[in-house]
Amino acid sequence: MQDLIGFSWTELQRQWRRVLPGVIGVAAGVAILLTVLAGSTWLGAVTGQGILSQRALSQMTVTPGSEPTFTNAQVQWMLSLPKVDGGYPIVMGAFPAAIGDDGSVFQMLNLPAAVDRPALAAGSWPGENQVVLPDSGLMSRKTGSTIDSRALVGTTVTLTIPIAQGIQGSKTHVVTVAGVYHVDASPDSFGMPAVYSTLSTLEGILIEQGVWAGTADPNGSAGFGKFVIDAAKPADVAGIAQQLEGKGLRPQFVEQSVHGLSSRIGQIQAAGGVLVVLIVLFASLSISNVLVQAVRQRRKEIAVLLAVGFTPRWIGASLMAEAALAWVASLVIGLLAAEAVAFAVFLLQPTVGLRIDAISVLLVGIGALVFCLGAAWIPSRHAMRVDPVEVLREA
Amino acid sequence: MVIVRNPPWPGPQAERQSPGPRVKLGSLIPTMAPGHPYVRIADLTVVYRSGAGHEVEAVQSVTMDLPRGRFVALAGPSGSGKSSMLYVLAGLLRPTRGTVSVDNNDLTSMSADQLARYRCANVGFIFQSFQLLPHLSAWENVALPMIPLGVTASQRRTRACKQLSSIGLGARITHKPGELSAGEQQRVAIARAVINSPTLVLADEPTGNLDAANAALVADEMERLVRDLGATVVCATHDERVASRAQVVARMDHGRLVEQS
Repeated sequence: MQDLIGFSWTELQRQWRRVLPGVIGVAAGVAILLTVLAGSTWLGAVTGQGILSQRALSQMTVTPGSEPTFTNAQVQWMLSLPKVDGGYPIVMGAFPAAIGDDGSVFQMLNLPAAVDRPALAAGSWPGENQVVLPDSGLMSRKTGSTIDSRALVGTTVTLTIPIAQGIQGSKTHVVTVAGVYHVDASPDSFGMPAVYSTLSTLEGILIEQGVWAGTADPNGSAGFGKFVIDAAKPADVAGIAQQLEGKGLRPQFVEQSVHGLSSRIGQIQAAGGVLVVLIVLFASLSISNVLVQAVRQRRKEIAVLLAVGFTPRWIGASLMAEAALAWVASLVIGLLAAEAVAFAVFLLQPTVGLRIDAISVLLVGIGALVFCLGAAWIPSRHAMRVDPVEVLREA
Repeated sequence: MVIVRNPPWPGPQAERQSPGPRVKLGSLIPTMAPGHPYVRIADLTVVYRSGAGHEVEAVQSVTMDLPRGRFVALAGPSGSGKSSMLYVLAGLLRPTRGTVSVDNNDLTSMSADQLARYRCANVGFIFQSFQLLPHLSAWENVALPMIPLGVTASQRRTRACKQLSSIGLGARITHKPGELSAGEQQRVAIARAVINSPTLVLADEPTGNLDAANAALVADEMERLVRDLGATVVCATHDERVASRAQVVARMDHGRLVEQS
């Protein structure tokens, strides 16, 4: 075996220029497959083995399209969709409720529409895991005393958000108070009645509103512009996204800036499938062609080997070994390329976490090996059938 | 069938290098008694069929016995069937009719793999055009036949270099065939043919591409193979100078054996 591999390795080195396109083709196929496997849920469904069972992909973020915030009716509709397990708002901007370390509930606010967004009184507009509080009306849940929200700027508070309509549990987030905004209850300040009612406690909010998110008006603002939907299974994501898009909403993969999820998935599937098929086809033809040419060019060499005592089986096996060595090179190159892509994605979007997992590498590796050996099969049969007498007579 | 080599041939044992493990071919065949022919050819006929359906009878009903440890010349003009006879003896060409046995092993009943093992362990082939692999060095070419026998790489190199040194090519072991003269290439080819200490050496016009001086050296080498290794050398040639040095001369013409002396 050692001699066989050594012999095949020498032949590969001798013909590396011819072999290179095939190796690159297989490597590209390996890299693309690994990348697609790591980045798509649909392949997980195809394999049925949950290669891509990354829980994050069972979620999607939804934005209300052109509007800054959802209406209550939209939220309720989203939560009523089949195969939707639940949802919660993304912790950015303003929030339904903020509870301080001492148990104080600061605010259940309705995020204002763009036209009536209140002027920022202190600090800056919130980023991720930040909150802006109203400049008045905060009341301590424990003591009932009024709280100066300006004093809280820069501190961390625990934010509690109901995750569904009514009292069905909540999600908590530790957030930083980025600033305060001015609450003006007078109808003249923005040309419309005040929309911000300062509320005392979380219990008070839920009892008073009766519905999730601050107001009983189905057309009223739900108070946030980005919502996370938990699908029951990763395979449900596309179907849910299609329904959301049908309503004019914009679904996206969690923490991925991809709009039009369902249609994009279809496009990605189609493009990825075509690309992989083309590359595999190219690589297959290339490797097969290289080996067929090699057999043609090496007929004299094969004839000499047969004449000095090599068995036809050994000759065939050496060609298969060449293909196997090409496979090893392709797999290494493809894996490195896929890791490079994953790293590039990580640089662009650190939270995505595109990961090339061992099972994917194993499956793709086995597939590539089968493909390489398959491509070498016919040439190796040709090599085994070389008639040494005919070739030596020609020489 | 198992090919069992005869007891050590005449000649100094020290010069016989072990070729590594011998290859078992099947059932055991008893070693031939002294005086029995080493090669038996009976009613051998070889017919080539061209793509157009034409048939050429290269060898026609040849029957002959060849003794062990002799220098045999197959003489005759081009196209007389000499090379076909050699290819059949090497197990590279299956006869259309007739039987061929070497050391009591019937070549016509062996499979392709069995024939390959038979060649590897028992046959050395010397070609007119040397047939060295151009990308391999001299020692790598010589070492090739040892690979199927499972000889280790280091042993292969040691033996090949020793073999080359013994024929005066010690300074050329790393040279590629293209860097060698015709005479040197043929000597490398002879070294490759005998590296496994074969009992049957087949030479197909080995002097055809050589000048008189190098041809004489090759003839000397074949005589040495018979004398020192006890090998049976069958040399197809139309060079009368080479044929005249043979102990047995079989003349062929138009595929027929016309004379044996």
